[in-house]
Amino acid sequence: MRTWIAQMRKGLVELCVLAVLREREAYGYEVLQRLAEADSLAFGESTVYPVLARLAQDGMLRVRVAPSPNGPPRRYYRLTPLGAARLREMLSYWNEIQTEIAKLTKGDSE
Amino acid sequence: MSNQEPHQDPEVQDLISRHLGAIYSALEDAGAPEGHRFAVVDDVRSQISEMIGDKQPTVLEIRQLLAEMDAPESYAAGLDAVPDVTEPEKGKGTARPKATPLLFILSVLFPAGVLAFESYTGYCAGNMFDPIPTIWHVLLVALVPIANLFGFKALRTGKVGSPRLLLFANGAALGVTIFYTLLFLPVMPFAVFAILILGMGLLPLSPLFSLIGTAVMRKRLKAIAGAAGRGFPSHIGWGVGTVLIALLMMYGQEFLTNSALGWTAADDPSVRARGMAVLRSVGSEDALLRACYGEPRGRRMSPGPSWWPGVGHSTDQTKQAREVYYRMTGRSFTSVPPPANRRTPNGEWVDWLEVNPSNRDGSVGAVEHNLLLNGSRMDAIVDGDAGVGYVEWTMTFENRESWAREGRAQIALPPGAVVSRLTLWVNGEEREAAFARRGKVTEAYENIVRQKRDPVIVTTSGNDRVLMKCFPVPANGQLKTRIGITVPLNLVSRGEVEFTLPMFLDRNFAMGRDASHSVWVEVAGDVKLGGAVPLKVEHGDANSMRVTGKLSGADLDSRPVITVLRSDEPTTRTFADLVSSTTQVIEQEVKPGKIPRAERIVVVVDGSISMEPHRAAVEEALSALPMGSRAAVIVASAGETSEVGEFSTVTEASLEQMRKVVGELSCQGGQDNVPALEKALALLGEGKDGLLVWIHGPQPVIMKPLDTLLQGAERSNTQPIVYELQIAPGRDSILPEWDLVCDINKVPRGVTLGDDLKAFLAMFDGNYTRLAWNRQKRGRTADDATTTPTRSDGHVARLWAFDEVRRMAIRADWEQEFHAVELATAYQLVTPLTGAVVLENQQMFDDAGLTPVDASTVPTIPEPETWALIFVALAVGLWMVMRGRRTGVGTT
Repeated sequence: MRTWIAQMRKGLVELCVLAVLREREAYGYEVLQRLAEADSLAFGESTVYPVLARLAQDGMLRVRVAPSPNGPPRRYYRLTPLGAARLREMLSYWNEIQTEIAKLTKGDSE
Repeated sequence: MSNQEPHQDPEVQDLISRHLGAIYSALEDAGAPEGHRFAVVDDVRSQISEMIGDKQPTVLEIRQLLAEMDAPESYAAGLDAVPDVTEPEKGKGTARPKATPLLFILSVLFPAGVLAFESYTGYCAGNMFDPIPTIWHVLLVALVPIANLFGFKALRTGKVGSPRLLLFANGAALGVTIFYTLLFLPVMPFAVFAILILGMGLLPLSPLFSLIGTAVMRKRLKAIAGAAGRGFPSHIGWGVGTVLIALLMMYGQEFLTNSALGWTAADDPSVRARGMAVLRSVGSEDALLRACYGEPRGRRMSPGPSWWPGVGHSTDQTKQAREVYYRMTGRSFTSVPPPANRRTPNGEWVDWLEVNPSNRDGSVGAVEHNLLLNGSRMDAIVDGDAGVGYVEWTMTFENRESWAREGRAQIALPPGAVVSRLTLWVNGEEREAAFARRGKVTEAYENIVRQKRDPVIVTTSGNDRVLMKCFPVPANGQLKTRIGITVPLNLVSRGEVEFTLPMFLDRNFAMGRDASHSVWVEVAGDVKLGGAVPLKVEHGDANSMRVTGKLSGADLDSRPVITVLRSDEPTTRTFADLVSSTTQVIEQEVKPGKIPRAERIVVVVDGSISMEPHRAAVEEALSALPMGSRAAVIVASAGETSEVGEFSTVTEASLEQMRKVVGELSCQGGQDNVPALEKALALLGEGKDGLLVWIHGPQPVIMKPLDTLLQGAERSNTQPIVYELQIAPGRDSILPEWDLVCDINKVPRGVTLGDDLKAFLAMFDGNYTRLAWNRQKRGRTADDATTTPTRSDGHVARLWAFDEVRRMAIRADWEQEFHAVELATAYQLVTPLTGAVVLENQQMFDDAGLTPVDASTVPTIPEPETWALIFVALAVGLWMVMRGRRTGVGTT
């Protein structure tokens, strides 16, 4: 993967993870699978799991450990109010970026 | 990490573990906080399980699966999305927490210095309590400066090393300082006051200062330890928890014991019962033993009710502890060595309750291990034909303390014996005692004790028991005293009698390292030795035999019996009277007497633990209860609720029931026998055909007042016959009181308790004839004039007088008592009404209104050297006579 793509994706991974958890809680692999549904957002576990750990540590996510039918217990993540606020903030900023970039690239796209 | 692993193949497991381990290491190398590392590994593990599902993958399949996943090293790259957690946030500055000199002083230097100071000087231990009584306490306290030193180093260098260990150690130090701060809390206000006024008193505040230093250290360490310092329970929490568990292990039992001790004194019987139940199941004997001593100095730290203000061990609590110790263990607290700890070896324990005269209750008190019996010899003469023996017990005490001590002992005399001589060595000279009314000699003794001069006193302490007290055994010095005991020989048959030695029942001194009882018995007649005691028989002078040997304390406790053969004719002999030898004689006869049948028999069996080894023997002996009589067995158990038996006619069936009561007896701790005795007497009622047999262990404490028991005996017109059998050595507090108002006899003892008891019970079937000494005083006749006095005459006369005094002393009116005292004093006897005391000089005797006995009137045993001198004198005399005859010199 080219470096600039990796850099852009890295910048978005936190937003994407928070966005996946916006509706309901999910365990790590589930988050990974939902992100993988969109090719451009298919992050590897080596990226997603450290982000989940950091967001939990920072109070954005709440962790619940529950038994799994397939093996070791799952760590379920859900948004905390702080995480929800951070997501809103990020989305707002994302929209701003999108708008500004759209303005900048208006001629190119036509 | 999760524990649940559904995959069975070890190689598959190993592959997964190695993959996870590699991820963990990669994250660690990249500087990811520990919490992140575990969280990520758990998520990856969970993902692998989800991907495997229900399948049992082969090694190949799992290799393939792992190959499809991100490589472990890529996790380090993934961290790029995670900001450095140790990087300070904006606006919060970039400075590392400071390692200031003040922090070093408070958290390292101060606790280390105080620990060293206390360990070296024992200042706190000597003035308040010992905060570091064991090496474990020292290690625990040392943990504070050590943990803080490493923490300080981390703060100073910025190199955390293992944050987990650092925080754990800090938590442990925090736990220690919190504990000691709470412990010293009650004295801290005084320490502050002392600092303000006197400029000293820093020591009690040291735990608080160390706590502050450790808490500041904790905050700063957390700041540099990153995520390792967060979460619950944190490593700090684990550290505190570990210390709490250590403290619980060190003090939990002691705390519980002290609490339960308090419950045993509650008004509510159920609370009292609960207290005893707790003590018997989980109580610490060591903690209770310390409470028995009142923990007077160098006391071990007790974080329980014994330390906190208002609930310390008062005199009453100490007495309560002594009672509870007996009830819990069945032993007197004096029967075991005092408790020891790091700073207070055995010898330093002092029974303050006994040292303070106001607390004395006539008991012997605790063993003081620096007060030793260094020399003990028993010299005896036994005259089988006369049926008497006389033993002199010479004791030398050594005091290794730097202050004077009182030596005390309760001595068991041979059955029917009486103390007839008492001496004390003053300035190397042996001084004789004065015999007088008990109260008078006691008062004289107490007066002289207050002057710290040299008295020794002997008074009776129940039937066949005396209490000896001598003071002072000087600091780092010695005291020597001698007790002479006149012993009636036990009649086995007309041709055979038994002699036994006195022994200690209770004492407050220890036996010296090499101390033993040196025995020398000169016997007129042939001798047989019973039991396995290290005594040997050899021929003495003329027709005498000599029994010699060295006995240990245990040997003496085993009651060695010396059997002496005697000529059975004549059955009646006369002896010169000690007081009026010119006009009167004592006539002594071996008289068979039929023992009346006991129609009502109550056997009281002590349910204390000391009965356990003898339970089967007692059960077996009950089969000898006379058939057809009415009998009951009462067990003294459970303290306040003795099991009460009812009379039933003795048949095979009822015997089986009675034996079952004893056979199924659960012997526990020490039981109060007084309620059972009261019920037994109530059951027996009035009448001489009643027999009470009390089989018991030591009764070192009186738990229930004896008033009812004594009142019953005093008010009864015809008391039942009372016999007691003590099955183990130790102090009995009931007998000395009861014996004053009731004629209490001893069950005759031989070698085997079971056989003795069986033979004793069988005596009451109405067909048993027992031989006994019958002594009478009568006027001297012409035939008596030819009687040659022997050294046994005086002893037979004393035994006659002793019988008379005892007969008169039981429930005596003032006139009888007066005559009894006169008689005992004239014959120089220690009886229930009279005692013997030796004072230092004649002036003291005069001040006390006492007269010491004339040395020429006391019974003596010629020393071996005296015998040698007599022999030499006779030989010289004989030689001179022979020489005179040969040379013609002499009377012509």
